[in-house]
Amino acid sequence: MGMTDVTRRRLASGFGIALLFVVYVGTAKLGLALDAVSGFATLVWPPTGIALAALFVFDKKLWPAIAVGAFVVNFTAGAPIAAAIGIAIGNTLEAVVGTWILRHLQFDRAIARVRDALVLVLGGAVVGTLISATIGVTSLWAGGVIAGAAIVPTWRAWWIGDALGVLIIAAFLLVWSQAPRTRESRGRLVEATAAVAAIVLTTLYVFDIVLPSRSPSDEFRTPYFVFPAVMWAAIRFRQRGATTGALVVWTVTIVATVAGHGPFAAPKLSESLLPLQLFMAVVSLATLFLGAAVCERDGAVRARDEFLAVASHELRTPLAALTLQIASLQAQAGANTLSPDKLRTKLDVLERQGDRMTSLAESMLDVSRIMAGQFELANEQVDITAVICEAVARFRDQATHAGCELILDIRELAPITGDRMRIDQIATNLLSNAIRFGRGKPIEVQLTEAPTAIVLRVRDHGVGIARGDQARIFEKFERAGTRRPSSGLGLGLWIVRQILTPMGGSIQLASELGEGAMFTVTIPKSGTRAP
Amino acid sequence: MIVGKIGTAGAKHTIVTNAPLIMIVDDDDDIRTTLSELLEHMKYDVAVAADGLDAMRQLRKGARPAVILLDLMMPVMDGYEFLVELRRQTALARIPIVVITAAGNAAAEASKLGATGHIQKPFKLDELLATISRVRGATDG
Repeated sequence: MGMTDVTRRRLASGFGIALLFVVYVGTAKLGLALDAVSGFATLVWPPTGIALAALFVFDKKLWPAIAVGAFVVNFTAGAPIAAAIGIAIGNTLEAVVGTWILRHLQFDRAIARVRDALVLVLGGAVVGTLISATIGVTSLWAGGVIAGAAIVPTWRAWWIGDALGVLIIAAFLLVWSQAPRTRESRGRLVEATAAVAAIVLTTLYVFDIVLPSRSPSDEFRTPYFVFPAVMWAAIRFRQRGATTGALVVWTVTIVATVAGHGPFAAPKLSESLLPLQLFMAVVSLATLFLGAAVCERDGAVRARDEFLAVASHELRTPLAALTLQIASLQAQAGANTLSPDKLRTKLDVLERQGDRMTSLAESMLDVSRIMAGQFELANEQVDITAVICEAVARFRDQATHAGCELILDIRELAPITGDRMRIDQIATNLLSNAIRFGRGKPIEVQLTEAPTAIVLRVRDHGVGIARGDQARIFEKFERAGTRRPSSGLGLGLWIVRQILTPMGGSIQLASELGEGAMFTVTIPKSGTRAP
Repeated sequence: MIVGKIGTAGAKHTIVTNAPLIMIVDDDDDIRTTLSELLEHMKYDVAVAADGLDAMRQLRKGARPAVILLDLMMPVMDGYEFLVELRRQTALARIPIVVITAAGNAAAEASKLGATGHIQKPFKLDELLATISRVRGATDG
């Protein structure tokens, strides 16, 4: 007897909720066992990190596990039923809102960009956790569990404990939730083991367990000794190394402090809470951002290599056409079979390929100019209608060649103040893209005006750009579509945006895959400086 | 020997000749036209296709080239997908393929794909002719 998909999905989601409930309650009990502030705010609150990671990676429908789990934990820990319900609501909202923030800010769980690290820290660790701390502590106070004087220390411990849950546990789970792309070599595995061992040993040393100190004031035993080993893990093993490193330091730190060792040990554990939490926050923030920065460097190197590959590819193609055309000219000149018409066609091909290489060289120069910040805009009188008409005229042959009909709606507009050459470049880049990706279908070019700006619209009916690629194509060396470069350097739209930004203009894209693309450019009439 | 020669859409015709057929699959118009002119000049019959799908269509209609000159980066169906598709068809799988690419690692790509030969753009005509006859010799013998 087969299960229906619906049954299977329900079973899977029921199983997911049950599993998350068990893990949540288990880790929460463990956290509370380690001496809590006011009995409820603990120095470590892994459930926050687990809940956030589970909702983000799997499904936000798992939230009942958190609600029931938090209620059971707090009720059995002695909270009155109303307070336990309040805390459960706070903890659930924290995970749901945290997940919403991460999704809304397009957080990528690989945390391979500094941006993602920032979103996790500010959105997940700092903002989302305020909800749980505030609702939880208010519930305890309203339930008569804590006195007014205990509100601030309990709230602080709660908030930082939850934030650390996100920084250490959620970061670790999020990064490791993605399957590794390649199997690591034996050498790398050995190195990873050595890095983890180094982190464990230095942390144990810092906490006075390995090579215990003989004098009470040991200058060679400060908490920052853990950094070289965690940096090793982050630099060599990226975010997997960074998040594992922070988790290892955290685990050893907790165990050692609970056992009464090290710089944070105090007679009552809850008293050593704040310095310990700050230490862990610094370790996890430092490794998380270091890991993200190293990943970004990897990405930049990849982009550069790809650029070199694409640039040489793009240079070779017109060169191939040039050399072939020359060979053909030689062969036919030798055989005396070259009519004036044929000669003209061949010279046209040569000219076209020459132009292609020229524009390629120009866009590479533009990139280096923009990157070096040597990109100045002129403020001159520009006959915008004439500029656009000339750009269109230049593309007439190429469009015919590609089978694209150019449909023009170009209004006669009053001159504007701006940079004539750069405006021409914007039109050129948009037109060349439209023809290249237009699949031989008509291309509409429209020039109109708004009260303070002119509006240029170029619309093709070709391959289109998938939703997911639409932001990316304005980046350097990016092209829409597949794993392999189709053609072009992937610089055109990036250059357009770089030109428009200082002009105070903008570019917008409306497109669906397979439905063509419409680019709308707005350029202020008043030039770059305010009137 | 009868060899079909089928042009791109709209320009279909069949001629009867003894010359071996070379199929050029490249999305660059200029390269396609110049190359076919040159090969015709060298007494080859030539079929051209602007992408892998176009080439596949012609092969399904019965074109049996002695060699296929294949560009890798093309729209619609690229050279990689074309090769996968070609290998699936027993009747077509043994046609020798010369990969012609502007990519920097032409040799590595070609051997990875199991192509019979490779040429890196830009190239000299002599180089192309030598490769074509080498590839044909290897499979005829």
